[in-house]
Amino acid sequence: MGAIIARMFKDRRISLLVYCLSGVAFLEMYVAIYPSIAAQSANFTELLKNYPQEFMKAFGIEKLDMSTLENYIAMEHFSLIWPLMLVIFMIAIAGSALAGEVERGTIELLLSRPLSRLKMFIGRYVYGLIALVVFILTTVFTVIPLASMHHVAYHADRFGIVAIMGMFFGLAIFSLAMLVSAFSSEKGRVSMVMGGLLVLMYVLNLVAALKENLSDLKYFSFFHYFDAQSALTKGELNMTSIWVFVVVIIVSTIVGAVVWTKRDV
Amino acid sequence: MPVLEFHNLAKHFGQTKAIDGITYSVEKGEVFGFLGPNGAGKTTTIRCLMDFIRPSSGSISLFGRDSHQDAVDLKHQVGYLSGYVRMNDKWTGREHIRFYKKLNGRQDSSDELIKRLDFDPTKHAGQLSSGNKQKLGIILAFMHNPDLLVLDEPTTGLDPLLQNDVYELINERVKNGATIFFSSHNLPEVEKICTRVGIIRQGKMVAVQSIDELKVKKVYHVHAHTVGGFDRAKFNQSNVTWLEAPANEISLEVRGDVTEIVKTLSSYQLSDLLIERAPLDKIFLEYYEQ
Repeated sequence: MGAIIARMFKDRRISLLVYCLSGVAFLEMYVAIYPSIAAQSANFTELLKNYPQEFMKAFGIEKLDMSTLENYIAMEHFSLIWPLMLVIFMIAIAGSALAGEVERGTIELLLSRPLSRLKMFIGRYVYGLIALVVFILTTVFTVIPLASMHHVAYHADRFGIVAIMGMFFGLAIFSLAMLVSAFSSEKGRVSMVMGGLLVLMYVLNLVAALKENLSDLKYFSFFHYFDAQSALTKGELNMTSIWVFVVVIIVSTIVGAVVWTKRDV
Repeated sequence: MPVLEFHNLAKHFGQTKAIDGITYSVEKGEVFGFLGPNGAGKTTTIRCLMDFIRPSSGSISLFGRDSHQDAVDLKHQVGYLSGYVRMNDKWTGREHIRFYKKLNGRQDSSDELIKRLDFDPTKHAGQLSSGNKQKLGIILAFMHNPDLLVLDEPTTGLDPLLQNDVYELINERVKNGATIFFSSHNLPEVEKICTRVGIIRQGKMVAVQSIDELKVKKVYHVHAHTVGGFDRAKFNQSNVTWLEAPANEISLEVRGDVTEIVKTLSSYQLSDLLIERAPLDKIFLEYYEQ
């Protein structure tokens, strides 16, 4: 299994580097411009007050306060761009881990060796988990040296909370994508199914925020449970969200592994 | 004990019966040719054998063990090569060999094979010609000195020199006690290297016979020219088929005993006579067309 994990690292080292550096570049951009934003904080707050309430709800912005780096970066980065990067990154890994191997036809060569399908699944899963940890560590905690460099005050613990939440959110996405990948024989189909599912979840969360009588729909959306705003602005970690993600992770992983070991390739 | 046994193996894809209850075995040291027209079920059988796909019913035993339950352990002893081998285009030949060496966990002869096949392992698989890709496939299939080699049309796209290298490698492995399960479309190649053949048609085994037994099913081609004419009706016997030829030539295909035809021919004055055994292809094709 070590060979499988090591090989995945070698094959995907460039994409891992690109995603991590992109995440760091975004952080650097936001942290670097934050001092000037903070200086104009009152004006921005006034400006944002004129935005329709529905628009603010749609983007999960509860409080128009840019007086801290956490508030600003939660609104600008961790509510949309960062989870989007995380989602694309994890789906890409899951898609190529199983379905991509079937699509390329290289699965035959691999399974003609003394390697069980379960070990292959676990090896690929472990790589996804490690890649997720590397991505989160670099794209969340780099904010600390960057903030120090730009003389911006920060709360390290709040970034720790968003990292934990992102970890469970990312792993839930990855587990679900591995399940879809276990069924599929085309990498593109995994992206299509997961993309469709996540867009649906996003829309459900949006509709739930806009229509009070449909507010229960939010419980069917990962974007309701991934609450970067509360994590960064209040330092809150919603345990219900964590449990929902844990259940998705366990069920998807077990079903995915069973499907992968039983299917024709 | 047979190395390989198929027990009433069936594989259905919806309503399509790709394999429909085949039963036969392959003994140790045999080079078993697995023949059949396109879509007959050869590759499906091999994919079941390699546990890539699971049978709808029946089972396969390898070295007396279940090919599905004990698949991982058994693959230490099995080498697999497809004529349409797919590689990771971004890996070099050396990276392929190193990676699969780790998975094989067995004594390795890749360096010897690289030299012998004159293969450049520094190139990326994506840059290799189809012949060189196939060379890499051969190295990967043979490098761990397997006891059973499952070869699915392994010489597809290879030049005659490389084909001969493959035949030599197969013969050497057989001398060292290996068993070969060999699917092919190339009938002369089967005649050349196989000791026994199985012919599959529409998912069913229509024959399992040794090459020698097949050769006994003699089919002769008779070509003769007479001085003067001949009576065509005299040659119309139950085991005779007329072949296309000029009107003044007797050109026949005779199945089995040729004595009666020779007697009939002796009643004419002949200016030319040729009696030859038809190639084995003819016999295979008869099974295909049954």
